[in-house]
Amino acid sequence: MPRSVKIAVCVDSSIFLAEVFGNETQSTRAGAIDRYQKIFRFKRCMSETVKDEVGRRMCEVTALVERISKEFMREFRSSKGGKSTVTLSDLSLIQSIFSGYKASVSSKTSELEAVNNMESVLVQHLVEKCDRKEGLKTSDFVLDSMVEFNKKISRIRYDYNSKLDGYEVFSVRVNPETCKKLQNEQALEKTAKKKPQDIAILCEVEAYKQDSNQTCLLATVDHADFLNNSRIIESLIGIKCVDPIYIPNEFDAIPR
Amino acid sequence: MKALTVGFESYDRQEFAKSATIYVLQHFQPSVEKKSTLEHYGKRTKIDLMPDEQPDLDKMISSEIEFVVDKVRFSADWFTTGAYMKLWKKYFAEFLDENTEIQELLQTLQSDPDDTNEQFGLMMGSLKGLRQVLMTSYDQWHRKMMAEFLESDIPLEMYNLHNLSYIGKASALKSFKADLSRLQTKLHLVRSNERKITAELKEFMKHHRLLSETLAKTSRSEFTLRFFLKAANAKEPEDLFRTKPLTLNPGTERKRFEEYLAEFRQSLFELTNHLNKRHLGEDIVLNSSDSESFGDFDEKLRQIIIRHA
Repeated sequence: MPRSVKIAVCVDSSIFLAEVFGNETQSTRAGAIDRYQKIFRFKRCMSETVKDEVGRRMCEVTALVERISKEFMREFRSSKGGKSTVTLSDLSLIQSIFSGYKASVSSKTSELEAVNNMESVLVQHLVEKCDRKEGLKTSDFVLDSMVEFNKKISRIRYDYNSKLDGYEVFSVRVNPETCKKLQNEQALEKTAKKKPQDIAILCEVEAYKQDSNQTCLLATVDHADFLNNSRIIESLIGIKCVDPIYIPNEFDAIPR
Repeated sequence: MKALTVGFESYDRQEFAKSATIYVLQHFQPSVEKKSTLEHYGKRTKIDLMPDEQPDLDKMISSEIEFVVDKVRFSADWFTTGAYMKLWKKYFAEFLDENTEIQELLQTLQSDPDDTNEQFGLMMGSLKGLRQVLMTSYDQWHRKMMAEFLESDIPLEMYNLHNLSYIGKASALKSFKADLSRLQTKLHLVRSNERKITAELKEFMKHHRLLSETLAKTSRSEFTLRFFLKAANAKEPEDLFRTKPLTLNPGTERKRFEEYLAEFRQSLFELTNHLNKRHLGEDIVLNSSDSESFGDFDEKLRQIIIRHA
């Protein structure tokens, strides 16, 4: 079995996203890197762009929960007025508040998904709490719900940090010529236009390869932008894009 | 509408537990000495876990406050470090009155016993007691923080970080205690072999110092952020110890807040990565949901993050 070959496996956002946030099916391929690393002992790394891109998504969704929860708690408390307890009859109040939110956001957006899920947990939480104790205080309902939201988001942030710890995050100065080559390639025209950060990731991996003087692979599950164009990308900048489960192929290709 | 922060005026017990922890850790400075004893001929190897000079809690807190005040460059006609320290002492005394076990542990720590096993017992007892305070006050602390969040204009991310920092501290205390217990066993096994004792202590101190330093760094960055926010919203010294709605002026204040938040985020990241993974994995349970309804909410959020463009 080949070991300690100087290869660095860099990951793109699709892999890191699946690893941190993916369900079992989504993270299977990302998990392969973990298993192979134990056998082949390669270096795992990612560029700042990947870290920031995944962090940005997490922060944007967190901000959605933050805004919706804050607005809801304010509206709910103000609609309750002087009434200090919550009962099942308040379900219609929650329904009416959320109808307003749903009407104001576009369909098929993360915001609508967040609104729907938050409505669902708040309704069920109210029923659960009313069932458990009589005379549920409005302030208890509001604070307990907010504690739960904070716990859930904290857990997501904790997982993000824990997974990040397994990687070397590198920051490099990219070669403008590399970027030009990729941007001028017809097959990558759509990627360059719609997802310029994907071109940036390729350039960063190429620069890292030059700086560290080792073979670098880009592990990805993004077929549309990377895997389907793997040959072209390799011929242009010498970086091979691979599906994580096929990483061992690359170790086999290297003379022992 | 009654403010949510009403009823949460008392100062965070976790802030005092944190100071007490750093104070306890300062007591742990093991050394190997050769001492003459009456019952033995010649000199005998002795391990002393406590420092020659007692750490001074007031001095430690004063220097911490001075550092933070200086860093934040805070000045107001109603503020002096001395007055702040006086209030801090007042509330710390209240904390000790409410937690007599901690008070006793801190007092016995100052007795500096000669017996190494007794010293181990005191250290571990103090850490266990402080961890217990953190564990039992978690729910109340979290509700208080959420009351502050709902009435403030501060990002939820800061409260996520405070929550993880709280759990990280409880976990650090568990790690310290477990490490001490392991060291005690190892020292017992090597008996009086001075070379082996020194090697065990050296290895332990290397790990202990790293964790102790990262914990102190996180505590300091968290204190800096809290002090900056409290000071920006205070009109009198007592306000620095009250749970009040927090707001920030756009521009300079917001920018400085972001700067302190980034420092806290980074130091917490370092602390989390230094902590014993098994202990932290157990302690993160503190963060688990009390409500069945919220059971799979994080899974749903994760899916939203994946699909979010």
